[in-house]
Amino acid sequence: MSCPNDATLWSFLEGGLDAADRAAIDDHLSGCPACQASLQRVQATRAVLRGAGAVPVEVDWRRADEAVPGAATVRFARSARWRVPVWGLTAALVAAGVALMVWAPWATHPVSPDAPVLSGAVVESLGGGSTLRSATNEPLALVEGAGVPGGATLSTAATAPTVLRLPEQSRARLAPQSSASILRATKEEIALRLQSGTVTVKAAHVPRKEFLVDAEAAQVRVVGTAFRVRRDPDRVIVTVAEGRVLVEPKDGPGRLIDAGHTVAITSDGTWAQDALDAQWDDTSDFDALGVALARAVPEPKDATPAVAIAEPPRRERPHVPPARPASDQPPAAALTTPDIPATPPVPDTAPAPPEPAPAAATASAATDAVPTTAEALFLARAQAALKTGRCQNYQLGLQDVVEGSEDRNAREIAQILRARCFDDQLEPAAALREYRKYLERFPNGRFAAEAHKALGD
Amino acid sequence: MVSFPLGAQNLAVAEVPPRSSPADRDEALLLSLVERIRQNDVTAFERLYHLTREDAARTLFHLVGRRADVEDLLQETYLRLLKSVRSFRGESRFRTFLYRVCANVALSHLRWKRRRPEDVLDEMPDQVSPAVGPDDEAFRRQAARLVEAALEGLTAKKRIVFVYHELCGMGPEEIAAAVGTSPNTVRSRLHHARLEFHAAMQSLLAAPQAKGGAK
Repeated sequence: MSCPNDATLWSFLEGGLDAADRAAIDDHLSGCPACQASLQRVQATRAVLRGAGAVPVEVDWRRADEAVPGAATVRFARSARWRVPVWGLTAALVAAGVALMVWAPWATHPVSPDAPVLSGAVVESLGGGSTLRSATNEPLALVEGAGVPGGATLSTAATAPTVLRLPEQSRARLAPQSSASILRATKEEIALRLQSGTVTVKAAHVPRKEFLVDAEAAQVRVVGTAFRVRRDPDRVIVTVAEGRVLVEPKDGPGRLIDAGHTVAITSDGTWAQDALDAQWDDTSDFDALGVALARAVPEPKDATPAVAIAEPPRRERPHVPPARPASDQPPAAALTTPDIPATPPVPDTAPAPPEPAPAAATASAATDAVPTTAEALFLARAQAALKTGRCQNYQLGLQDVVEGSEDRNAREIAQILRARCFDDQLEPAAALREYRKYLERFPNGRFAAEAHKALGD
Repeated sequence: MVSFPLGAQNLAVAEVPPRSSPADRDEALLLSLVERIRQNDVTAFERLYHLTREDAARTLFHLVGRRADVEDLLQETYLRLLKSVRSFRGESRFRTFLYRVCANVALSHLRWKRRRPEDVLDEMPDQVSPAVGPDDEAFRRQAARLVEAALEGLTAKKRIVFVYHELCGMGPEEIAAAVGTSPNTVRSRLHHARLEFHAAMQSLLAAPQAKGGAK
């Protein structure tokens, strides 16, 4: 046979040839020094390749684990909206921020599809007659000091409560004749689902990403507090003993509820006008958790979700090049950016560009505002990332918000953040492009002056 | 029920059917997560990400090299995955589907980067030290840089096929499914990619020696 080429020798070394071809090459090699040398060279190439394949890939998982869920949350939230769920439980969980949690290293454990979540909850005190069922509805042993599996549902009997200690030292007391599932319980994230009855929570004062009690008609999000959620067939009642919680009906804006207040949400997700003083008649559950009670005028504070965007990072020099007259280049002072005032999101149904001017922004609107929707949370994180030079991880998500959000305010903020981010990343052409897009979409927007300045208008 | 120690002590894990291989169990789990993702279950997406992220990162790194932050590529990959997973009907194994998304992300990136070439040879090692063996960490790192440099000469499509076969261990059929072409096309690309890669590698290996000889 004639001398085989290097690719054939590669296949020969790989064992990819059939027996006849292999034998023929063996024969040829034995009498051809040139091909023996070629074979050695191919061997050397393959050895380098194998060496390269053994190099561990260095990934900043902390960064990746922050960036991927942040962007995915926005997608999920939008998808959830499209589905317009009547009860929207899963979608609401998504949109409300469950995805902002720490990503526990489950991947290293051979878990089944039926073990959906991680739980570090432990039974602190066990009420007689309580039962525990797994996510697959199998009965599980329930003893004091034992862990509660993720996805499991705890049900109490008619006479005694059961208290769970959560991983970050919060405590949850499930009243008699109640039932709740542990959706997730890690040091960084707690998510409980109340099926029926009452759960009283004393949240530990520790940093965490989320503490959520889902009662279907409403979700209660902990700001740092002690509270009770009672789920009746026709309504959900939230009583706040300490601190503050964010209560979100399934389809409406949330309200921040301060200590001493009680609110109710009907099963269709609307705020009820019930007389709720009776909720304070029996506070033994709070007492059991060592909560000092506060009582105030029972008028919930309206806290329409808002995105509090702070001042963008100041730079020592403008990244976008200075403008010349009759050109696209902006002046040297182009990026002296003002603060982004916080403004409640403005739901709109007319996204056709250019968009109308937003409702007047007031500084006071953000005083008590916290981001509540997934988009708002995402934008807040993107803003924070801009300060730390990591905003590039959010650009895709910001683009998603710009293109698909139903919230005009979110779109506007996302657009300006994209421009600032490109500028921060020393990509002036992209920054200018985004500033132009901003002006096309929001000619009278709150950041129009900043955009004009950047563009040298 | 099977229970696991350590941090997983509170995980309820249903028994898996006997005689199913780890790959089958992995596939079954991923498919169940895909189904939940279709129902907008973000926790399923989280799990899927954690189950596959290292695989995806390794693949992306080999496909694109050090020219891009793997973290950024991961984000793009999983956003694309999230968008396309709803149409995934199990035509292939899920990981093959993931590799396809990785390939698309890499292809976009490689084409974009081709317009902005960078001289990866700036960071080339002088040579692969003969004093160290293939198990040596220094050798592996030097080898990685050489391979990255040699891959620069391949077109994006050849590079993807070559990397999937040589570094990810995928066969022609699986690669064909991942890149959306026929197995024969894959074999053809692989054949040419090997020739080009080998020639480039020999040049790289010879260059330091020539440089040393000229001194």
